[in-house]
Amino acid sequence: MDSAIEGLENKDLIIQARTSYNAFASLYRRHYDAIFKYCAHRLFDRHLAEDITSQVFLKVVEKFHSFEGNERQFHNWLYRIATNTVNEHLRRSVRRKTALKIFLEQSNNIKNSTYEDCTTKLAILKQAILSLKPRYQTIITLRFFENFKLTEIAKVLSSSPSTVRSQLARALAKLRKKVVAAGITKLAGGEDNGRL
Amino acid sequence: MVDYEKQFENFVRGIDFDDTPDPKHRDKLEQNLLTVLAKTSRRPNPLREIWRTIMNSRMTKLCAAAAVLILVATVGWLSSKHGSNQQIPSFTLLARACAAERMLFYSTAGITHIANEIILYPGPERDEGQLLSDLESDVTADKNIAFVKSWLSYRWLPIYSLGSDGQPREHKLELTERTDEAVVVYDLAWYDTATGRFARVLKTGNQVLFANAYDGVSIYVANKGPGGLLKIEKESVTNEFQVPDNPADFLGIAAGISGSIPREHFPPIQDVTTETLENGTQVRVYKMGFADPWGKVDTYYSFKIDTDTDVIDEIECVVDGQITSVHRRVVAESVDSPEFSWDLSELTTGPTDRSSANVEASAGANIVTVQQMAQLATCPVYVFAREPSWTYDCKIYDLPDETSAPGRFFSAIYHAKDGRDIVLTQGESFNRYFTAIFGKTQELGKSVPWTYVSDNGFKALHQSDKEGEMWWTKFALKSAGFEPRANRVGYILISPANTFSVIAINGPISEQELQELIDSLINAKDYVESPD
Repeated sequence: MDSAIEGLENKDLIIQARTSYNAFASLYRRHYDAIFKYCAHRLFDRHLAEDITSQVFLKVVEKFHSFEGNERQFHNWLYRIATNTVNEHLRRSVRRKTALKIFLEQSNNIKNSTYEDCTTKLAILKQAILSLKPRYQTIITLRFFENFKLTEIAKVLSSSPSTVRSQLARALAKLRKKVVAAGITKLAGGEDNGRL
Repeated sequence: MVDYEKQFENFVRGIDFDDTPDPKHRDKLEQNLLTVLAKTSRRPNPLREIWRTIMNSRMTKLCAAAAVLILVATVGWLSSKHGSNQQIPSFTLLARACAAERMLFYSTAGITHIANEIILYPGPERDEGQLLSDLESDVTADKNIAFVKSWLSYRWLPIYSLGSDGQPREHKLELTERTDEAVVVYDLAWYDTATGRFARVLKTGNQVLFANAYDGVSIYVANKGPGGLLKIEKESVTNEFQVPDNPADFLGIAAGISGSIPREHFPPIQDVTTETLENGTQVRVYKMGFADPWGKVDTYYSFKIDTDTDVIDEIECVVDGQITSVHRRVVAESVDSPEFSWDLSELTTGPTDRSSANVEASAGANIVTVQQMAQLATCPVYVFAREPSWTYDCKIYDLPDETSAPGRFFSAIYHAKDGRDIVLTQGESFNRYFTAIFGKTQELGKSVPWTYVSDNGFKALHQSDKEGEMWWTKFALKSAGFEPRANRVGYILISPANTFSVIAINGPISEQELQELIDSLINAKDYVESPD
């Protein structure tokens, strides 16, 4: 990579990327990991996450000429595309049903096993999150996996922070029910409080 | 943060989920994106100047050959520094260039005409077979250097055509007679963006050396046969045939670069400078090549890439410090009709005048079975009777060993589940070289500190941790498409039949694992005949 391009601030890179392949490639490389991780956290499937990440960046290529904004807006735009792509996938794909079915079976099989096991927790978490509405999934993932602030989530979702806060509360309440229903009583730190 | 948020955060934190991005996917996607970007770009039409071409499997072969050959020089006779000041992967750079090249074909409607010139420079007369014979007769450092350098040198340029199955074919463009002057070959191509039809003709003066065309129904290849007879072969396209999405894959200066070559096969960028071409174009000059066993980079390619458009303007090939070829674009423009018909009907078949250059089919690497390997080998070759438990797939690559023709080189690549991939290489010239080197060791009264002597008659030598020790292992792994790990290891093996092979492992190996590997080596013929 050109050292000159490597050293550019994101805002300058966005401008350069309109006319330079090098700059676009650099911009892509700066954001690839974050978008992949977000997709992986939404889908709990590495291979699927790669597919969706590919779709996200292809959309970026197609729409980049129409993007007019600064660095922060580009970041939000990217996550919005990723969110829409994941949600679109979940809505259209039968995989969601299949995945839920698998996770339900898993949870039935593991109800009597030790829930300290990380794999078990992961399976239950997958089941619980994937059963939520896509918008709730988005909020949960951005908040707890990507460590976004409520204001940042609001910008990605083109919503207000107060709306996001209330939706987060509802999403968590639903999650709590599902996780507890799956048999988890001991949470992180070994505290046996029976709730989330 | 409210209580249940905190609790959920702790819950999530206690779960280990592998979300590490895969660099291979990232790089592959980048290449795809750049291709799409080139297709959809709204940048101004850069259809104005030049081109140059180059090759890809040339690099592959260079590396493959180097992997096999160079490691030879290791037995403590030579040391090497194998570094580079690589800032950007060469693969990424060239992928971008290929994407930019594609744009040239699609930036205008109708027929695109590309004209390149390829200048072939006469090089010193060299004969690897003779050099190896000289080395065998008397091993000296000078002879050793002369042979290995020559072995790594190529004196032909790869040219790509499209086959009736839609797959690229590689051909060699080379000087056919001793000449003191450079020979200019014109590489003319026409491409119809609407239908995918194309015609390509290589000529020196009025002499047609080679042609390839597609008329929408059949593929045509014109080449000189024995006695200089030009003949045209016509083949109907197969059901699998599809015109490649990117015509730059088989036409023009970027042909071959964007194929399915693993990125590791590309030599690293050693140096980057800037310069202005005669026509005023500002270019960055990327010097790409591997350091030789002596740490020098005097065999390399110089890619001159337009700083504005990312297209390759010129490719210079330097072998052993001498320029052997320059490939540059003369014109890229939109035309009403091609100079040659899509079925090459204007070409006259039959005897042709003698030419200073020639194009012939290239003998590339093939994937073979153990049985085919046993049949093709001109010396005893070995495989693991039991594939290592940590591997899941094995492919054997067969390369011509022109130094010891009709000998073959074989590289058995075992893909590992845990990343400890294995590369086992062997061949006739390899045997001759190592025999000479080890013979000299014995002649000097030096003993070889074998690491392991197996019950099946194999001896293994592993060099100690000193400068240059691991470089050839790295080279072998890179050539096989693996990213060498810091803890890779390599061994030179001598078989009961006194043939040599080299094994490179991309990770640490226990003494027991090494012994199991070597103990399981079996002659390929016995492997084939074995009831198991």
